[in-house]
Amino acid sequence: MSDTTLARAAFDARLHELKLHDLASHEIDRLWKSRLKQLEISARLDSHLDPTLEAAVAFSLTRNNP
Amino acid sequence: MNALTELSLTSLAAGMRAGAFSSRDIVEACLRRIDALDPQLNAFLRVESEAALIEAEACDRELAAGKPRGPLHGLPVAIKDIIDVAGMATTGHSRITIAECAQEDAFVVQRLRSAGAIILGKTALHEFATGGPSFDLPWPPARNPWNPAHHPGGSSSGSGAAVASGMAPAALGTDTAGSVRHPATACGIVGMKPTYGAISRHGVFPLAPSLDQVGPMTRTVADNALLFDACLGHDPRDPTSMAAFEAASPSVGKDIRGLRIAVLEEFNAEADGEILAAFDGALSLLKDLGAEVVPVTCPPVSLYNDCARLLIQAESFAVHKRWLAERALDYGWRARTKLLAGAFIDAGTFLQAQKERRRLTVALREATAGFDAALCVSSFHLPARIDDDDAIDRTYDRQARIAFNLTGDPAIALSSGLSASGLPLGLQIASHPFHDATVYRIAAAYEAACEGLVDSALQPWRRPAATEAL
Repeated sequence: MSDTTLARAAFDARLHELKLHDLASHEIDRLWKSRLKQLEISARLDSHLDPTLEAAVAFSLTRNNP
Repeated sequence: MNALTELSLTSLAAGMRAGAFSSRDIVEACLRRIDALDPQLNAFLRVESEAALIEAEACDRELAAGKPRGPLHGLPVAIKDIIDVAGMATTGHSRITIAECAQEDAFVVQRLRSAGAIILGKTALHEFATGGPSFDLPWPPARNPWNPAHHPGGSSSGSGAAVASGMAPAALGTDTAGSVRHPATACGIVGMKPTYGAISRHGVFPLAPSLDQVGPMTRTVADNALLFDACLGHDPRDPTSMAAFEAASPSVGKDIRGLRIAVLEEFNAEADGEILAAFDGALSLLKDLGAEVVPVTCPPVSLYNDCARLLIQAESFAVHKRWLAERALDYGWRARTKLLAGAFIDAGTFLQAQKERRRLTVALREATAGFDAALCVSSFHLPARIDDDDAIDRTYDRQARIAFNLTGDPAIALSSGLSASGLPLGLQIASHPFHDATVYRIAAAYEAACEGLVDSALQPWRRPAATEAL
């Protein structure tokens, strides 16, 4: 199976889990296109990001602001 | 004399102080304009006519007694309906929260009232500030006052349409991925996304909290600075709220000789020819004003847009997760599909996007080090027709605004002219965090140099409304 086939199966399973597998077909198509774009971006990030880079997460701890 | 609805906030304030007209005159003029134009433009979800008139009369009495409340005394402001105003529903333009009555004003609304502003009403938006113009919601989408067949930009679409049509002299919007600057560009007005943390978001319904900011929308830069200054103030209930922030109004009117401005050429690469030609004209004007304008290299804008896409999808899904599980079909189709996209992002991918955010922020800092400001286009394309779903979808992915949400930098969008088809063109001026006053300084100088660039007879806020009662 191609990567896309596996990804599509996982996508459909997630929609079932959310009980949203019977959305209108144009909405599912739109979500699937969005999912493919996520996978493309994610693969690019995995290939070029330094694994030791600090994430830009918002949480911070100071004496005044727990 | 110009109609009151044509005048800027600063002119209205001066005229009121001089006794040329009253706050009640201004509010009545706005209400007449709303009656005449809003049935076509759908900018307002709710107009507070009676309360606004009562408040205006109180302001008139206080001014007569020599006790103005502040710099916005007696001036009407419209509020995007994702920001709490006490006693009114904060609908988010959605069935989901259609009856959610706010118990108190958002901090930023409290600040406006303290400065003397009168809340005129709540404006239309894209559902929960995402999605796009959707016709399956309880209210129709706002339309562009320059041409109602076209989209006014979004998500602060009603605020943009209200200000550009003269229904309100000023409005608040919110900007997570350009949602103040997009309608400002599409409607030919001024929209500011301040430094992240400059304006409290307490009482503002979130889209993606690590990117969300409240921003002022007006027809002039000086007005925008006036509104920005009124919105400032530390709010302990917003953990991102800054303790102190430099006011912007004093910088308006200062010359820009010797300022160094970086041109983010990578951000302009995919813009349409007309938008680029207007941008080149702006560069010439800024050079004529004595600024040093220098092209710099930075990462492609598509990397910023891709990174923000993952963060917004993940953060907004978290905000809406419970409602999507229980009431997914109560959303309009555009917001439903936008918000659900976040259901497919795993935690590792989200954190990778947060690493990319840091990397891209550092890259922009390095590219603009030693400069006072940076310049780039705003939209790549003219405002799409409101009935063209595909063109509208492209609008959201193809623009140069999100980068400044990722970095937290202040960025203002303002007019750079008109297209051959009569639709507004725009550009952005950005600066380093906390340098919002520099953004306003350059924007005001540019605006002054652009006097006459757009035929004022074409500006929708100056057009008579055919059915407006005089």
